[in-house]
Amino acid sequence: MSAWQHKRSRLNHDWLKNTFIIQLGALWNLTNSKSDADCDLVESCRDALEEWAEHRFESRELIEAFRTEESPKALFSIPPLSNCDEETRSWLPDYVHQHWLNTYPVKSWIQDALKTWEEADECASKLQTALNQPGRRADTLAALVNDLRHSVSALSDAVSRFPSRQLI
Amino acid sequence: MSQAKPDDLQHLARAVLIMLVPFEGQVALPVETMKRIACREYWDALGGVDRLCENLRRSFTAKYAGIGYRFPRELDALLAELGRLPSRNVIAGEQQIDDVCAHMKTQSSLVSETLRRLGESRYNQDDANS
Repeated sequence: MSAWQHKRSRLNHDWLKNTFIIQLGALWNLTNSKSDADCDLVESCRDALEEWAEHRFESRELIEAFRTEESPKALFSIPPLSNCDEETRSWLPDYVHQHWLNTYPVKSWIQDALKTWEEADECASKLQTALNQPGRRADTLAALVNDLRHSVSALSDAVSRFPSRQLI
Repeated sequence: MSQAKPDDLQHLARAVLIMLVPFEGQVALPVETMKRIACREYWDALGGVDRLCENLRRSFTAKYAGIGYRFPRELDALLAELGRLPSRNVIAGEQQIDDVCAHMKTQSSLVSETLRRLGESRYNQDDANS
């Protein structure tokens, strides 16, 4: 398994699916059980936003890194392809990279995942804004938490759609 | 590369697959480049043609022979072809090199599919016997 696949597994399986989405589900249940935006609810929302803030760059970087780290061109930095002579290395890595881009929907995978990331980030930003408003209402927070929950699930689905092995 | 372990099969299969990409001909390559990749020196980067063949066979056997799979005939054909390629130091006629390129192009899709399966460890009995 490549380094990118390990990072993807840690991010998507260990964090998104098994931590963050579960946390957001619990938060969604909490918002539905409250009629007022009390301290407990606000604190739980802040915890969720901190969790997102801690991983947002890492998740974006993972998506963007797919194009370079999972390209077959990357295999030229390790044996046996690293043994190719200079003449071959001057054209073959770029050639197989272009072939890879033409053969698989690499750009779509990346664009789709980045779109879901931006939606999740925007939902988190809206929730942050709402938390900072005086007189915030529990039902408003509930709606925003629900949006965040759905967008993060969509992000996880998009990250899952990347191929699970390095394609050539 | 002289003593490939069974786990090296994936690396080797993927490396050979990458070296075969130019023969798939999706993008036209300069004639000089095609001539260059029709010589043994291009493949020697993978450890020398003889060792490449030996390592592919050894690591395939270590991984699959115990469960009854035989070495894929597509790879046999490819390895035989590589063994006949002219070295760059040998002056080969243009027609000979053109023939090699044409032949590799013809068989590369079959070989690619076989190497892809090996590289992905999804090889199964039906594939091996087909």
